[in-house]
Amino acid sequence: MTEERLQLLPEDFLREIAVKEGISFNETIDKQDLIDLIIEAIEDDRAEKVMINNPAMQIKERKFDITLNEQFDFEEDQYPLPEHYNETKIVMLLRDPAWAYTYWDIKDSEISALKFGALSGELFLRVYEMISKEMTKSNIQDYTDIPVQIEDNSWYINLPETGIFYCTELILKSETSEKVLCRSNTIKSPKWEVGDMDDFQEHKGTGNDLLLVAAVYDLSASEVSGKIPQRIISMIDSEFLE
Amino acid sequence: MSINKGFLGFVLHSHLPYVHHPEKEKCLEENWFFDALAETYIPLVGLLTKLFEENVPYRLTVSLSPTMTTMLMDDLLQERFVLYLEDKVALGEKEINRNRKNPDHLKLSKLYKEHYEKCLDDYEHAYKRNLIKVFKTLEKAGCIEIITTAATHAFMPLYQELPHVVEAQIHTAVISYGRVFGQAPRGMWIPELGYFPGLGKFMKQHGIDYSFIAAHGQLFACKKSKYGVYAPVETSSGMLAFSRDIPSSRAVWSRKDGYPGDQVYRDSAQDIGYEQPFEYIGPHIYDEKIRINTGYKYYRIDTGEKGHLYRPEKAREKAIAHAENFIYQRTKQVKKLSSIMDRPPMIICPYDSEIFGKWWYEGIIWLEHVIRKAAVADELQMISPAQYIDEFKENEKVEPIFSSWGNKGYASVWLSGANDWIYRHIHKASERMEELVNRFPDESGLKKRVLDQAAREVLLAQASDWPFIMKTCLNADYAKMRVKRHLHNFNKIYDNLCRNTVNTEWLTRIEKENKIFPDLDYRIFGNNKVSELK
Repeated sequence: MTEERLQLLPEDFLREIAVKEGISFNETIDKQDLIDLIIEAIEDDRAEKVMINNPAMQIKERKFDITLNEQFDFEEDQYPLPEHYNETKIVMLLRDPAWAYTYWDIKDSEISALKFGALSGELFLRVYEMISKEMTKSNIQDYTDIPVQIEDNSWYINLPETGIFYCTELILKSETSEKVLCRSNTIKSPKWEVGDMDDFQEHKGTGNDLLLVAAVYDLSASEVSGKIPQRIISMIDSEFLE
Repeated sequence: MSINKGFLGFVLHSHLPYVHHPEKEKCLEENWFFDALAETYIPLVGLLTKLFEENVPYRLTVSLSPTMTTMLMDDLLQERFVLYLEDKVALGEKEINRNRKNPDHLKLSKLYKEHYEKCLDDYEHAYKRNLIKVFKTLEKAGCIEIITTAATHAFMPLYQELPHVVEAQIHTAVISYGRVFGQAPRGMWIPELGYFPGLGKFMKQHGIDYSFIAAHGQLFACKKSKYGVYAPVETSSGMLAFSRDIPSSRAVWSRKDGYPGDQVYRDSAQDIGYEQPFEYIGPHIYDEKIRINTGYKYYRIDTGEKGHLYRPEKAREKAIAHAENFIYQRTKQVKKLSSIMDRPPMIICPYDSEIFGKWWYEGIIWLEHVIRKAAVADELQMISPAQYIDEFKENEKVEPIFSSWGNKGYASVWLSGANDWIYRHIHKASERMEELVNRFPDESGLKKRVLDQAAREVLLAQASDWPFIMKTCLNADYAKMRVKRHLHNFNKIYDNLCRNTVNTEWLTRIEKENKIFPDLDYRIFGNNKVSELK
């Protein structure tokens, strides 16, 4: 968004933009100061977005970068979506080896029962760590409870270990009982490392050979020897962390 | 194909989301497509045709997404693209006049105007608005191999719990490819290289022999291939997965370490669309008030002091030198790899097509000289993955892990605080679509039209581009609107079907707006095949 474009917009519209951008401002602020705040917020946003993008994402971003001037002409309420779907259900999505996202919905009748006391207790997410996909007692390695509020409907869950399975239950817990409202699908967190290097070692033998077939030989890693999984990880990661 | 050489597998991925707005006189976001055509695709097919006519031997893989092919064949977009080019030429006239007393700038004004005139001439007369036909001709000549990608470029790992969605995305893409190219695709680009264990089964079921994954998708798998990323691995389904080579990717993708960051190259950010006063530039920007890129750019990459004039000759020399360097580096890589491999290494170089021309203005020159030099290289040969797998039938069995080419290598671009709200709704619509197929398994006539459009709306909502834009671009409103609009359309159809009513006028309108996949059958969201895969 350019200053010139903002100057052309009516002050009420600028205030709407500022609210949308999450900018705090005094009601008595004058137009120029408001414009300065918006420009600053947008520049910060832009810098942050550029910084987090790896090269592949930067190029993808440029595909859609045809103007510096946002249009801000879409009505938020033009295409309303349901707030929820009146079902009791929880879904788990794997974001990366360390984090999963879960969203849930609770039936209207159960929400009412909770709000008006027919059901009592506190809501928890119980995250199970499992050694295989099937949710059985013998497969459960550990679990963690995360308290949530009735107003919540999603949560990012930190996954303590890679290479194992996770499943989440939405639980209503009182002092004397627990009621499982719903159980999610199972996800498996992939390993965040090259892992067992023996397969490579078996075929090759030297650290340089490992780097060669792992495609990281020329990323400032010409002299290496022995088992070097950590270096390979950091070099591959640099591809994504740039 | 010589098995004594190392192989270079260039893959150009060509995709944009479906943007088609007949309901508006003009639409800013259609410029994504027009800019890409003028700056990348027309110069690219021109280059590939020229090399073919000069008998330069080469073989590239071109991934054309179903949304891209649909837009390339759309009459309205073709018409609007001609108007777009005519406007660029008109702006060129004005620029020549404005810069008449400034020879350096004048030279560039003429260069750009000639570029747009040639684009217009080629598009109208040489290609007759039909770039698909040119791609087909190049494939028939053996210069390129055309592959496809998922129907609307959905990020598959986030739909793995809904196998009927994965199936519908792949099946629709294969049908679309067959309609456009008259044959079945052998290869498929996985959107954002977003693989999850088991995805290969869905692809192999539709005859897909090979695809591409991120390097760590294979390197972090439990079992290792002795060839590392320099030979494909056979996934559990039998589909072959080629891994992206990191060094050759960085050389081109990275502004910091790669060739495109050289200061002799043109700066794409400095554009007269932002520099000239409204009175002058007004007729050539959006709605006469929203400044946009015009393509008229006079400066090279900023060195800290703005205003260094762009010198095309010097940039050209550098692009040729960078092409030489690329071939030199790959040759060195092949020599090293050959010493420890008992078969020729296959270096997979996947690029977004828009790198060449749109993002890196001189990229087309670079690509031309890479192809020319590879054609006469002693130790390198450009081949397609299909050629490779026809020659090397035995490959190591490895099931890749969940991975992508996004930041940090997984799903954090497409699943974050900026966009996670969409999945609750898209998943629900996808489930309801399956429910509709079960409720109405054998409809025809108007009801089938309604159901087909419901399927279209769900597919369009699933595009990976929308969450990407919400997460990484400043102009996120359009992406939010698109997801909401497709879901809103779907929900309206769903509700109407529950009440057994149809608003024919409204249906006809949204069919015109979202007229992708003309032969789509809503039953593609059925679960017959999925149950087998499960």
